[in-house]
Amino acid sequence: MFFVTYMLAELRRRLGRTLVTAIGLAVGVGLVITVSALSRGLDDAQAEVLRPLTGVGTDLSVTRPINLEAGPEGLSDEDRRALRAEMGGARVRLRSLGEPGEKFSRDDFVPTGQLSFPAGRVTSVRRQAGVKDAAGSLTLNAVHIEGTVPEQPAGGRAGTFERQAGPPENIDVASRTVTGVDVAKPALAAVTPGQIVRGRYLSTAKSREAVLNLAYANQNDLGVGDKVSLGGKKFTVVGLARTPLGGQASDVYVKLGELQALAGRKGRINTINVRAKSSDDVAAVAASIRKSFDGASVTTAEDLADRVSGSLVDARRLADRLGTALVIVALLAAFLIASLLSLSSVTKRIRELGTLKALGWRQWLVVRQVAGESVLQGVLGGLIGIGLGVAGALLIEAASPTLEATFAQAAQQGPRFIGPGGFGQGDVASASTTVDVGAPVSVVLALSAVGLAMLGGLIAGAVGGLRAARLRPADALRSVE
Amino acid sequence: MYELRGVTKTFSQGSLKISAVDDVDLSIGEREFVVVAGPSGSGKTTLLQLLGALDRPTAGSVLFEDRDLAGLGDRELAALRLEAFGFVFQQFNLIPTLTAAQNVGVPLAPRGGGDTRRLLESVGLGRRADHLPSQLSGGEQQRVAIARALANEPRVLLADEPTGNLDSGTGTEIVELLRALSDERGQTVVLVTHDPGIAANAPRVVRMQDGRIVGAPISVSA
Repeated sequence: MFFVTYMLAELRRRLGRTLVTAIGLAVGVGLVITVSALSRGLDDAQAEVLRPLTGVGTDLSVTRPINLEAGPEGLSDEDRRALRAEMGGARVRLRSLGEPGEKFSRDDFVPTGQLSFPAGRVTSVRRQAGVKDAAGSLTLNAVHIEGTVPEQPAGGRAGTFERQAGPPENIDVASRTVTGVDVAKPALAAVTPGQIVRGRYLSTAKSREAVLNLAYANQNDLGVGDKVSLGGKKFTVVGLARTPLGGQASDVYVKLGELQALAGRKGRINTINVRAKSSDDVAAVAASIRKSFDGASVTTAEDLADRVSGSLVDARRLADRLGTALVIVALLAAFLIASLLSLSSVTKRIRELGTLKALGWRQWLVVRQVAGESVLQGVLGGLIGIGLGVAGALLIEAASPTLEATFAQAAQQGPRFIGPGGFGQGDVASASTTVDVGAPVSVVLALSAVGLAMLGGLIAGAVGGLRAARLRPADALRSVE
Repeated sequence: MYELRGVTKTFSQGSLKISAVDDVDLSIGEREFVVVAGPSGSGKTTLLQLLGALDRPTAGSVLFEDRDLAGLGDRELAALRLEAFGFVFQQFNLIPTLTAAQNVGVPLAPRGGGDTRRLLESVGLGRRADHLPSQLSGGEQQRVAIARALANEPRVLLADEPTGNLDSGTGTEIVELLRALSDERGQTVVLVTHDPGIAANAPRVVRMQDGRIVGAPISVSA
């Protein structure tokens, strides 16, 4: 008790110095808290952006992409054969539609950029070590063509317009993306019940139901209860979903079996969503699938995070780099100031410390006294620092800066419209969203900050204490204060 | 109690070496009241520091109760100071932030504390226990310092110019207090002073000049 009384009395005596040291440490601690809170806020914001990308229960997705970078000639023979089979329906032979001048209307389904594969792959993926569950889905472009059969082009190949620069003027072409989801596993589906903002999710009943992308519904003035036509069949819109930023957002979601039947792809899928048993297993599961599934592209949540850009990512990078540098510099400066002031304090108290030694205090007791005072200063600095840090975090919360995240939809590369004579390059779409950034302060962080300030005090005290420890009592008593 | 043989303490100032204590031989018995007198710079305080285990001699030996202090380590010297010696300084050396009672408790703190009020009462300051040094007169501060020096019940009381910052009347009171307490407690007292009046009334006076003991030792029976 005597030692604590003595420490507190000394800190009161040198109140100005105590406050300067404490505030120096507090600024460092406050910066640590504010920057960490901001960094956490940015992490939360990024997680918020990524959450819909990854789905509620999906850790990774498996596709079999078509490599179109080198054009159709760059494909392997096998890929080319598979793709030709996939694209068969997209070849529109006008001769088969009727005589020139006759009206026609037809629907076709073409792939969006992935080759399909047997649905049995889901079972084999589900059996792999580390996999908790898996579900398949099929995403296609539904191409609707209607118009008048044109006159036979002079000198052209009869019956097709596939090598022309575009469709004839009297033919309308509209396409939309459609995903067939496994309603038995909604958590692993491309659209989840949690994303429904109006209406309900797809039921397991046999009725033809569709969930629309909210943006698509708004653009086409569609709502719950309306009908949409797919492959000549009418589907009742039962729900609208806020589709995720990026990812494989489709315009229309229907039951997998219905889309497979309409598109003539029974037993075929082109995406498997996988849930790992543990987040630690994701990398191993991804590697295992890549190894066992030739040509498969496995995308994890981490891969998706790498495709996010925009001011959110810039701010996060800034917080990581500049923020960390700022914190380090501030802490070093605070520790340096505290150490110098502690050293200066010891120098001014040489006679006092010498008297303690003359009165029989062992060296470590003197060091403990000096270091203890510094640690108390650290506690004070830590408490003030919590106040400063929380105030900084509250200011950020109050300002609630809005940052933008842009997601490059690499998965959407692929043919959306089939032009004459080959595969058109689809949109390389990107999507943006804005997110408000907060700065949540955790109790653990605040307590760690006090610990940090105490550590700073201890370092400063150790510097002063070492000086005190070297004092010879006779020399100390000779000093003039 | 003390046997000093050929004790020398040299300080270096650049290339210059100054012998503050030069080849001193001295014996001090138990319960003796010894005054070390001499002008400023004669080596009195340095001699006192050697006697109090605050410093080690450059040459010679300081035997205290048959132990050579020069051969002891820092921890042993600190333990000896805590157990055997009490110090009174010219400038009192009280800790300004602590009350009189807390100052008296400083040498007791390593042992876990003790009855500081009784000690203050023994020097006539029982009612001033909760006062800070700045609230006490010079004489009162020195009384607090004496109470502090007595706190660990030392066998030797070492006082360095205890009246140097006091008026003559208060100085006389302090010396009388030291003598009374040492008589009462049976302690050895070594008192350094340059005040001829104090030396004149001391039972034994050791005179120093230029680091050496000069003249025949004066011993007056009590």
